[in-house]
Amino acid sequence: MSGSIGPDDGFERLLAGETPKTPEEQALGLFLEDVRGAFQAEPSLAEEAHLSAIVQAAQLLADKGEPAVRSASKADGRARHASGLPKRRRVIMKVPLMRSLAAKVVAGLVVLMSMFGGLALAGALPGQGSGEDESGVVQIQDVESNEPVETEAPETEAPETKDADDQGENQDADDQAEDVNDDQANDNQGENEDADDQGDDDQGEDADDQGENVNDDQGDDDQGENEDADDQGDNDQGEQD
Amino acid sequence: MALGESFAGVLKAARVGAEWAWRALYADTAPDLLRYARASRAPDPEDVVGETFLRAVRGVGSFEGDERGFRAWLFTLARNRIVDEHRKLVRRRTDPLPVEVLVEIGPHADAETEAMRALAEDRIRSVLDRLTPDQRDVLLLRILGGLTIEEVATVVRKKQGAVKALQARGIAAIRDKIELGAVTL
Repeated sequence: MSGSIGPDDGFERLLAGETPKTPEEQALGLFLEDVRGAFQAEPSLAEEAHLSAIVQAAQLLADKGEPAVRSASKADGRARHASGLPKRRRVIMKVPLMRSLAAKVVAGLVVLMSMFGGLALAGALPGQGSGEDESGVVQIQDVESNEPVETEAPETEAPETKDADDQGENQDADDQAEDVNDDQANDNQGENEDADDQGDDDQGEDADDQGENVNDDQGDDDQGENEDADDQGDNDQGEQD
Repeated sequence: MALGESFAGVLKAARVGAEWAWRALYADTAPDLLRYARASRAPDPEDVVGETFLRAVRGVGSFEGDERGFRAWLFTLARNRIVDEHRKLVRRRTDPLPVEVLVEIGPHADAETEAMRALAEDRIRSVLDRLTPDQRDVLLLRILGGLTIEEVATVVRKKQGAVKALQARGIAAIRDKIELGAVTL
């Protein structure tokens, strides 16, 4: 009985005022009487004060203007303050912007995106300039060595090479450059020979040699006259003597 | 339950502020509220009764129910007030009252009667202190308030099954205490 959970029939009978049937119920009934006797409600001095306050409040709430509870003043209402009602002040609570982890992550992403975006616009990313360098290379043949020399095109022309049409034009331009170089090479071949000859002449650098060359040239021109020259030489030798 | 069938008329008169109606309601319910407040160790039981009726005045316009419902509603207001008083008592420091004030508000019966009642109250409190607060609340509402299981469940905001379980465990603890001879009956 003591450990059962549920409505106690004996307890309910005792609360209803019935007489206890078992010794346990009798002991419990005595306990209930002691409880009721220990916490008695003797007449309180505050009873009248409570009742007066209760009645006054009830009349105020029920009638809201009953003459018995209305103010004795003839004024319509409370005098208005010169400054009016107090203004509602707005207090803004300061909340740190980086309070949450998500805000910190977003801020970091924004910084990274802005940094890499700036590098991309400036063309400073590692894989960004390789293709443009290849397209921007113009092959120019050296005039003197007849070997193609790779020179970089001006940076101002680099954006034009981005288009496919421009790339074709560049190829044409390369061909044209090669053609020009070829033509120039062909044209300059004779001149180069002359230059070589001149170089040979310069290598001699002696007045005698020049004279010999002149003589040689003359001799080349007048091969049939060599004999005469010889003869003349002989004559000259004879005259010198 | 002294009002009986006249409760409806009394309640209607109380809503319009009739003094006699509030006196009748106060006389019918205030003693039980005061005993419940004292047994619940309220710091100022009489203040609990006064505040309970003032709240009832403010809310009587929206109350709907019979006399037992009104009684349970008043006990609900009183219990809320007692809980608030206990919370305030924990948070704030209390100042002792002057001797003159204690004499004025103190007991007015003879010394022997007051002593006997104090002894009986101590014995009962020694038993009730062995109960949990919920068990003690349920048993006091049933014994001193005269509320049913359903009404107690409404007051303490628990299900009826939980109230029955609390009551059974509380009675079992009291019986164990009685068998041990802690209570002189």
